[in-house]
Amino acid sequence: MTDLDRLFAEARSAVPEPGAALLARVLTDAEAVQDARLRVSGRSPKRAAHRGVLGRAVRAAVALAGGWGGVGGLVAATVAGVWIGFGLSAGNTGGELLSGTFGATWGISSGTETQPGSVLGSSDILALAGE
Amino acid sequence: MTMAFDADNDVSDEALLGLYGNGDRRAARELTVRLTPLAFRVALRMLGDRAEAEDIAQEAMLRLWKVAPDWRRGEAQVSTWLYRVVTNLATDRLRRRRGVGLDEAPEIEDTSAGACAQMIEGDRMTALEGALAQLPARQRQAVVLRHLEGLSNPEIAAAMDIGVEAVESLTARGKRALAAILEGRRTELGYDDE
Repeated sequence: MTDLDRLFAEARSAVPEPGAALLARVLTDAEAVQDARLRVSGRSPKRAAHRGVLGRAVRAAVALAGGWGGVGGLVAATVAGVWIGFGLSAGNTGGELLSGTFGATWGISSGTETQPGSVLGSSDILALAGE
Repeated sequence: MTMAFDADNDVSDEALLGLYGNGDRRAARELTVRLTPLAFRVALRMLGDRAEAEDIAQEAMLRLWKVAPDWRRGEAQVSTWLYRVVTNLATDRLRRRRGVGLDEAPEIEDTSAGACAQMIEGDRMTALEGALAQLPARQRQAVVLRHLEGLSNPEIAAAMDIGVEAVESLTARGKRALAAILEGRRTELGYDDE
């Protein structure tokens, strides 16, 4: 072992440690960046693990519909759109849509399947309910 | 401030970074405790100045927090990424400190002997810091990673974004230069008596 190798070995054993103040500053940065990111996405650190992509999409839709008061109409319109699309793809005419599918649409929209619980995960519902 | 974090060593840095990106506060604390010492230690060994090393470590960790959501799993080790960021930031700092010429800077004892005395005990450590300060930045970077951090040549190549042969060349030249610088101080450093 050369003198330089011995010097390196001594230096490796003298490990400088960061002070508590630096650790505190780094952690403050970590939480600030985390908070800023979660604020943008509408989440909070505590609830972050329970929110999914679907939840965020639904929250955005709720906002567009003017809040939860407009959600009933939004759900009905969405389901009607699905049925109209289905009817056209099956080769139905406009008359059939009006006479048959439209009635079926109302039947579904007034039943339990129009509730968010049939589409969303339970965690998303809990998250939305907390808004 | 109490910094009583759990030692959660079963979880990889990468997994913790994913948790951090999802808003996990505990992951933020664990990564802070796990990685800040590395960032600070490397910066200090590169710069020889505690205050500057703290700035670099904080900046490197801030970059880690910001990159967390975009981290691509399996592409690089978090520690390798951090080595790269810290050594690059420190190299930039060295170049600014040296101004127009890389080899015209004063030795470290001339500008920050007090800080050196705080961080490393003994004349030998001070001498090593002073000698490292005289190396060109890339040589110093390679020597610190190889001989003080104990990284392998492939790890250094990844951290410095160069080939393994280039690493070997840098460390060999750096080591030769250090030996030459310290040769005249063998007696002063007590090696003649051993």
